[in-house]
Amino acid sequence: MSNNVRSALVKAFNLSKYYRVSLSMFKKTLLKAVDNVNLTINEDEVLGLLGESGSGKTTLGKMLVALEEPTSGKILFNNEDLKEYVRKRRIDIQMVFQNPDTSLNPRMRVGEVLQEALEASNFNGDYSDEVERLLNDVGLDSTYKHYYPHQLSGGQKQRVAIARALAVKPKFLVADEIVSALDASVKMQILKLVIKLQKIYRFSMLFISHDLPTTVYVSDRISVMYSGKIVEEATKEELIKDPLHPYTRHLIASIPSLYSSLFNGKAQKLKDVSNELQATTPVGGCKLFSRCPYATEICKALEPPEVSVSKTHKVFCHMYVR
Amino acid sequence: MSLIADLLPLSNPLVGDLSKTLRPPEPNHVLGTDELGRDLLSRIVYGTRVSLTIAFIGATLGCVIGVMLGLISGYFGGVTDFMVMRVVDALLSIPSILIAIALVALTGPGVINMIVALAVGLTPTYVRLVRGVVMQTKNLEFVIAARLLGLSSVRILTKHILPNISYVIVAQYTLDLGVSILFAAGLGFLGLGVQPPTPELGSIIGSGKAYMSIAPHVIIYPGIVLAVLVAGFNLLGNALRDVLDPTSKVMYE
Repeated sequence: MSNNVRSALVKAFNLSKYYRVSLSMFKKTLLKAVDNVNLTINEDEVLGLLGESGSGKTTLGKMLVALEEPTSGKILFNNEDLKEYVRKRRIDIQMVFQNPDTSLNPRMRVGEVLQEALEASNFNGDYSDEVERLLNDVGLDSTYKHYYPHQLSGGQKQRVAIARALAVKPKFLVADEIVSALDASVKMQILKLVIKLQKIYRFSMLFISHDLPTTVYVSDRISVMYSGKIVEEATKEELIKDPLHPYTRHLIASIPSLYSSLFNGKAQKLKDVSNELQATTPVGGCKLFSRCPYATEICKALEPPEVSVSKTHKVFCHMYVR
Repeated sequence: MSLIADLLPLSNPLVGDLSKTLRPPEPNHVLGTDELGRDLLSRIVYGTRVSLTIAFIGATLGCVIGVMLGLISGYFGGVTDFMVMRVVDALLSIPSILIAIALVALTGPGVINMIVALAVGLTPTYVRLVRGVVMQTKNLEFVIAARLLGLSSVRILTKHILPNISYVIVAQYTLDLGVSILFAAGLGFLGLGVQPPTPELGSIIGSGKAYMSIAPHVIIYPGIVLAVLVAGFNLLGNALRDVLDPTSKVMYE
């Protein structure tokens, strides 16, 4: 699938989101949640966005669904300005959230939730049939439409949330850590479901996760994010075979040993440093400087350049090692 | 019982027998008579009805206005929120009994003024309360999902937010009914509320206080009724909050 030439659906240019944070009563600093990010998501493609908590991946996702206004930069959707597009067709861009417990209105039955989504789209047909079809699509039988969210398990709630997002036939779906609140066995079912549905509905997806194996499992391409910046971007095959950035290798080293053998010895642990400190420390050079074993003077002074290793593989590092 | 007062075999609360004033309880007048020889039981039953009506309408009005302002203020935030909250702050800084007295001084005593004073006095609490829970609720994922579906603000507020914060409002409302009864009685006691000869719990106590030493029953019985009413509404409020709280299991069963 990843060999086809596909046209871009979502394009982000120099996208940044800064927050003002108070350190104490008088001290304020700029938190660069997302810092100068370029990103392309093609039609019918799953882009995995991988990063630790606080790396800005959720903020990036929220900007791409127009829930957050970027501080600077530009987002094109279908070659139109995202804000303009959203004004016309809000429903083309949907999101599934991390927490299944708060994703559904506790006062609405599953059927009502889905019907409301259908009413919001241009659907004209039999609502009740379509609700049942949607439930079947996400692997629930039609009796579930009478249930309230509190009568469902976490996995079932997440299935309903996916059905709600797909009810409006979106072009683009942001899946923000959709399996991280679920049990391991349920996690697998939901991942398989998402892959299956992507093939049926043919939407583009940004799959946000902190878990490398999960991201590899679902995505066509993967962007690795660290401290508000994308540090490496590659197809999943390239990333598995040839992880280049020290941070990517660190992530691989952090996978429980059962899986890490997959990545033939490219793992490399980094020094642990407090996250918050990292994001707010104003450094001109590489954000990873203080943690990276390969760091030299140039890393401290200059922002890492974009290095294209292949057509699809980019890494942002001065010292990248093959 | 006050609701069916007209059907009960009670003597007319407005007609007294001046030969039998301030009588202690006796078979003909179970709770005795007041300073104009009117049957006290009958006056209390009718008076409770008047008190309840005023408290009910006043509290409801205050609740509806307060909830609407709170929803708007909490959901939209920004300039709207700022303006609403400054007005609320101003109202909160003045005791509502003072607002009521000022209102009565401006327009004269009466039932309508009492209701308006009550509503104005209760509104700020609802605005604050509702604004707070709306600000929490509007960031929950199901509300964001509703926004992503392009639903209107009115629909999001009424279908997704209001039903999920109603338990807070209901609890506050029942508690406020108790407060309103006290408030209405207080104004009646001060002579600012319902005007004689209409019976009302506060004014019964107010006019009876002059005879406290020779005929204590005239203020003791309406006082007991008042206390029981307020305590009852408070208990009801607590019970309702337990039942309606979405985190408790009692729901939906």
